[in-house]
Amino acid sequence: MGTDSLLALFAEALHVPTSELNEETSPKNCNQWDSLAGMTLVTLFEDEFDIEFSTAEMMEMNSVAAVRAILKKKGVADL
Amino acid sequence: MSDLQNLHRRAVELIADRWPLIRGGLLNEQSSDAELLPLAAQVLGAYQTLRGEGDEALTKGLESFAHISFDFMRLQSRFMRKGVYRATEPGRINEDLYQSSEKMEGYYLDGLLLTYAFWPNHTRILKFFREQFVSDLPLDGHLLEVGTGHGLMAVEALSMRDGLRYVGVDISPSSLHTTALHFERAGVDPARTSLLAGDATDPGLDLNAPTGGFHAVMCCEVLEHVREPQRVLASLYDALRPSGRAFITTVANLEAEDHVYLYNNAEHIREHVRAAGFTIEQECCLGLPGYDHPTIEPLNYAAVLLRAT
Repeated sequence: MGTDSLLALFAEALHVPTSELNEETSPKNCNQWDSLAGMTLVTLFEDEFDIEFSTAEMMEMNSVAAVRAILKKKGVADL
Repeated sequence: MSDLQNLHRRAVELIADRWPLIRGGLLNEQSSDAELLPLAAQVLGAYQTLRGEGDEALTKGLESFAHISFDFMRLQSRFMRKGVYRATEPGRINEDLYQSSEKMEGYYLDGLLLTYAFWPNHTRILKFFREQFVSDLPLDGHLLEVGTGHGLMAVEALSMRDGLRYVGVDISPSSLHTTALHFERAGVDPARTSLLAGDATDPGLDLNAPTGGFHAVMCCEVLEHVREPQRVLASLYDALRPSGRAFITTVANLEAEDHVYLYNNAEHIREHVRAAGFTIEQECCLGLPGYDHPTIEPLNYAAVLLRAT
């Protein structure tokens, strides 16, 4: 999966165009990334990559870059 | 603004900065919550009484609170799609959670206690508890609590009514240990309290009830954790003397890792309460912002009940 594809998942969950997303996008600078959208993202990633996030991992998912790092740590390749 | 209120404000800022997803309905930071802040700050003070005033204790407490909040958000998001709770086996939850000191004393009890400092609905319920239940307790009566948890509600009652005697029952050794520690650190005279391990619905459990029954009973965040809440309500009723009052809290359509019984709405809860024989004297029903749905209405519920005869 390429970067654009990861951002596409964010775009799907947050209802934001991919062009408005980047590595620094976070709940602090994206109003659409509220708690419900955040949990939708968790479910989306878990289904897409067949993984399960721990509570500690969810607590660290505070930006696109942070999510990418967690996914890599969990062995999701080609991000 | 008091030192505790300043500390509370800083804690809210820290939570909002580190875990921004918790903002909204799960954090006391809105202007509409301003009236709650003095009480919310006092809960943070109660946490410090229990765990100490250092930065390390505060950090651990806030992480525990965030853990509880994220678990809730994840499960509630799932519940809003499915309409059923995931957990169905109280026995398994008891084994995996309530009997696990690692989980209970690692994050669960501290996190839950701090929800009363940071979740607006829980702070409102604590306010309701103080004003509508504790203020009417007899100064030197006997109070039974089913499900002691972290001991916050008990310390509140014992502090506001200094002649009150207390019996607390819980199935979790960690809850009993934490409640005992909370009493000790809050300076509650041990002669006033008795903590029992067991299931309050077990007819074989001796509650050390005074002659005629308890003057008051309370049962917070228990009904949704059991398969048959009607049995718990019946045991509360039986433990009370006539004209005695009960305080209960529960939820409808709010999921947590250990919620088993699904109340569909406030009327569903009322039906159980009335079937147990109680009259509802006061109620506090609070919806949860941010979880809009055409048919599922998540809510926190608290009530003061009367055993008339």
